[in-house]
Amino acid sequence: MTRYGFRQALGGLFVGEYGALQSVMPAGLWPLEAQTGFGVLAVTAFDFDESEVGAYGELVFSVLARPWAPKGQPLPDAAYFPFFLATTTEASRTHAAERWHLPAHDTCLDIVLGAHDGERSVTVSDGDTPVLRLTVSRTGAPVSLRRYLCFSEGDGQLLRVGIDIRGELDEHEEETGFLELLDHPVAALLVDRIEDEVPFREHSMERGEQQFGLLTAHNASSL
Amino acid sequence: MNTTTWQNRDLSSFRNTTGTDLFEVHGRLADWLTESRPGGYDLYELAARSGPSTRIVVPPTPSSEAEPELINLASYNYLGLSYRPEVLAAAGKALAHFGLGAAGSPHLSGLLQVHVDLAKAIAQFKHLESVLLFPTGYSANVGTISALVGPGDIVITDILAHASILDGCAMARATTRLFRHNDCSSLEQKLRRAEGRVLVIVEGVYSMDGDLAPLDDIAELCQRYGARLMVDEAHSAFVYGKNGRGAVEHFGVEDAVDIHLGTLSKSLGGMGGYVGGSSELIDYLRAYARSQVFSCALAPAVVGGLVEAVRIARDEPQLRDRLWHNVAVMREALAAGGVDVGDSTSQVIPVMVRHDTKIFDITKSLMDEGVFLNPVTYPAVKRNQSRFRVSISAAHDPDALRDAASRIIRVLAQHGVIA
Repeated sequence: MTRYGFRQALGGLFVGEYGALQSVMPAGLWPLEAQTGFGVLAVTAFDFDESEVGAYGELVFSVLARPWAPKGQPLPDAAYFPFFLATTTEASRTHAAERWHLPAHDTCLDIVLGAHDGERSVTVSDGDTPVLRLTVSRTGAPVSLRRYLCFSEGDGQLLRVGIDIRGELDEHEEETGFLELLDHPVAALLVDRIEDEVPFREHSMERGEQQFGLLTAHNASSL
Repeated sequence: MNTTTWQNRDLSSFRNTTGTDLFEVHGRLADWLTESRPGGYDLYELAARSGPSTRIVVPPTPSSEAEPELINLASYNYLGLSYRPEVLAAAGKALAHFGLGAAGSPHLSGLLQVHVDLAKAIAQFKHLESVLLFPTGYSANVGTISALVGPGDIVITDILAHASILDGCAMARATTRLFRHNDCSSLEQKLRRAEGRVLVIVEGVYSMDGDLAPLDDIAELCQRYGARLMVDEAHSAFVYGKNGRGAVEHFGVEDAVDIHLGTLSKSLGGMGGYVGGSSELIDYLRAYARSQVFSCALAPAVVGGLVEAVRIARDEPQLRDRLWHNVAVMREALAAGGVDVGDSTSQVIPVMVRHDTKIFDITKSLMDEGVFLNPVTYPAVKRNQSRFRVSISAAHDPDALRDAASRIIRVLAQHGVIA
């Protein structure tokens, strides 16, 4: 198991047109079809304070994939395919790419998570150029555990890893958040892939940890 | 902490899975249903022992060995026409004359004179050139949309659009974009970016929240951007507007709407769907709306009854007056008790509970109090936006509604939903 501790995390789930989401996924993976013709795109950010590569911030764009579990195993709470990942440090970018085969951006971005009153936010910029800002609301919540699957691509094959995330989770669908996309190539990755800048679900977690399992080749057809 | 109890899953959990066996997920759903039914999912698909009148007889409950008769606030019978004696007599006459079924597609042997009479009656009522009947409202949307647009075309619809609209768009393989619910600035943003032939689809009244689409602003935007406009009046036709012609009459935009769609199962109390518009449009749909072409025509008894239901809706405008009086009575009574009824202004009044598991216990308590309401929970609505959907009918007695409201208030207070 590989552990990452974080002070704060937040995210929003957005409705995205199925074909637009499928276009970023590799063969063998399919978007979760939340309603006919539409899937889910997730924007998440973490403020890690404990990891093998020190403290860093992280921004991830993912498509929710059809969950997968072999017979007899519990279904994960959700399955993600990250198609973009940016961090604040060189070491964390290299770590994400080499350890987990995640699609790390080629430069570092500034990723600042903020908390004030009932709002949590992440502001992302590329030097002096703003990229995006996501806000979600938070009312406080008990410690919860979520069991996720994460898919990636590496060495010509699909890979998967189980990720358990535990922390003080607040999750709701009250449409109070907003994703502001600014004029930057990273933000452009989302412009035609989400239907609405208001997330249909918001989540934030504080004082939490991620536990990554073993990264294994994903070959559903052979099981 | 997380547990593996049924509350951690819902019906959305089993729809999209991968694995080696296509049927494996059936076992997972069956296991979940075994756990969830005692927790509240047994409240769905109760086989009522009576028709959808203002009172309804349901199967015995754990606290009642008899079959309780409850005030019915769950059916769409907005004008109370499903059991009107004149409607039943007309249905019986059609049954006796034409038999049980149409026994064919309307394109072939299935078109009966009674179908022609109903289409004509709806067209006259709605002031439309022509109307085409469909087996259901669902098939009306799917058939109409998939006939009108295709790959390369663009459909822009509300993010809360009914499943039948989204299914129609998927079947059409058109590019489908969603705008924020009832938000014209979001719609305009999508219209501005749309290149090609555009169809905008909205609903007159949205069934989960009971709110109206701002059709005047939407119609203006469609005209400005050269988009065609389709309005699904499933919950608004025959009740909205001075003459019952729907939300389009209410907003004064009848001529600005290209495609008028509705159901025959709600205000008229029957079954089926229709689409109306110009004769050219209807002739086109008659040829290419596959859900109509490749389905059996509506059962003649239902259609015969519907012809009479349309006549009553036309000749008895006082039914609409009574409906709106009843809506005001219920809304006022609930509001006085501190009940959150959301943004509804229609005959569909959401009673917000905002708790996805507590709502099942509340439903049972309401039944014990003599009130029949269906829990509406995720994924039909957003997480923790669970609610009851109170459907008001012209046939309800206002005093019975006041009494029901007081019972709802009492139960919500007992469960801590209101103070």
